Amino acid sequence: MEQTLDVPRSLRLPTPKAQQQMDEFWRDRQKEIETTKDFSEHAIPMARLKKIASSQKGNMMMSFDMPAFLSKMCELFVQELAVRAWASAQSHNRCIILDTDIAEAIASTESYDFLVDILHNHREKHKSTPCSTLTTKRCRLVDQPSTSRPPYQHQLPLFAPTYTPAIPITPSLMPPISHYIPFQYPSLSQEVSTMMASAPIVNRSMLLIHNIARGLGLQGNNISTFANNNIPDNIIGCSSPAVLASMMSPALLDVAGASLNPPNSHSICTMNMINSSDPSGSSIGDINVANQASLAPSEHFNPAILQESSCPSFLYNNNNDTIVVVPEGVDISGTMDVAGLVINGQEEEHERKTNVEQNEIYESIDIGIINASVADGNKCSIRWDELGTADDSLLDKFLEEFQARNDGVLHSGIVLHEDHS
Amino acid sequence: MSEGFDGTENGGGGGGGGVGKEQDRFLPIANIGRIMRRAVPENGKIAKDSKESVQECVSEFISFITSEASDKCLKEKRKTINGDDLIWSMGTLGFEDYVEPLKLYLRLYRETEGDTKGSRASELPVKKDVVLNGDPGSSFEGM
Repeated sequence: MEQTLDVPRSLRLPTPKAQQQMDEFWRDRQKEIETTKDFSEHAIPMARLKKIASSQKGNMMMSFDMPAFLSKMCELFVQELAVRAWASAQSHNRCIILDTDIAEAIASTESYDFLVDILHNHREKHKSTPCSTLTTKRCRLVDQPSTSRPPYQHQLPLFAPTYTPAIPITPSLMPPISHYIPFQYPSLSQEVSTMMASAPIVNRSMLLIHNIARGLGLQGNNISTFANNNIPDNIIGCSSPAVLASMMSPALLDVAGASLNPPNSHSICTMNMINSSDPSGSSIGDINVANQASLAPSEHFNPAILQESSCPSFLYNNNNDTIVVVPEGVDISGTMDVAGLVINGQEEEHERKTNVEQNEIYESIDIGIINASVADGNKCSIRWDELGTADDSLLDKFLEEFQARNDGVLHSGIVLHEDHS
Repeated sequence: MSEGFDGTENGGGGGGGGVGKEQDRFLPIANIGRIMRRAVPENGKIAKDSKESVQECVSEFISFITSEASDKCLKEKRKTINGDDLIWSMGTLGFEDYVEPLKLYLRLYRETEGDTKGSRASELPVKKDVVLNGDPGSSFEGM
């Protein structure tokens, strides 16, 4: 069951800038040849060239000028391919030429059509996609050494270039990948549910949240949780989950008068994990979490409702852009459950066991949004970026300061109250 | 186009020699990297896998052009492929941009290297004659 990709030739027409670049390239080569003095120097060894050429020419003989000519011809070919690949890399805002750039250069040039099969075989032989595989490490926990786990190897879907003339794509060659679609929320309108389902949940590594209440986990990474409560500046940025968990404890939220589990509240939030200067070199991309906040007040969001999709198309974004869908008119205050979803990649059995023992994958974070309304009615957002530690002594000190500040705020006429949407 | 890439043309080579024979089908990756670096700005970097891709592409390119030139020579009942045949095949196969620079290169190469080749060729029979006559004579005077 093979399918062929037929891309219209209009897609491969070079842009004026690219054409200008190539014209300049050929002019430079012409000048370079004109100024050549020593023809005995060759960029490519003659013996190897003769060997490759003789595999094709059968019983034919070569004239004395042919090896040198082949050497120059190959030099021009490699340089032209490099220039085209560099243009492709630049268009993706990269300064490194990857395998994908070579593939794109070949796909965008009509005279290179004979190389498509070679590139396809090259990918099969190396058992990888042309894009170099992403290596992402887990977030190093406070109580674990950085060498406790090998990095995950995730592979992106097969690269489909701009133009590929009749490349057979068999399903057996596709890498194994699971597709997940968000749960269709029963209490939301049909349009909102459809809009939510169109946003893929993409996760390149497992989000490990280990005993957040005890102050462990994700140290060195900055988690920014954006919740849309129809109030644009309701943002809490927090460096330490311990501080977040303590801040959002029921005792403190009672002061603010925020209800913990309002019924029928839903949210889609983005957890943007910024690369840290951690010795483990943890590098995690954007994570989109579709969140259903307590349809039943006492229950948590069950990740099992993320159903596997039978859709054959790949849900991924080439430029690592985050797709965030926030339905209008939906109240998002309330509990937020973060489910770590492994979309791609497989683990060995012993790794899975150690993961279960050492890490609690699904943890709930009770989040309420504290709005401080000053006397003139301006809202202000509270940021906790400065607190990047999970030390208990500092936490106690912080709580004391917070209580003192809270008392001071109440006495000075600033009233903390729940913001009703 | 890829008949020459079945891995058998270089001989059997069992055991550990297989990898070496496999690599004989490709140009050295160091040379490929050096040429690519000359075409890319100084701030540009080249990944290893892209060099390997280009390495395979160049070998296929040589085979592609050479086989077309070889077919032309067979049709014309000639047994020697020369640079002009390669230029013709490049023009035929859609590499028109290569034609003018390579024509120039071939002309300059023949002018410089062809002269030395011609002079060497004219010297060889004289030396043979000298040796065959049993009179080393002047050919050994400078020794």
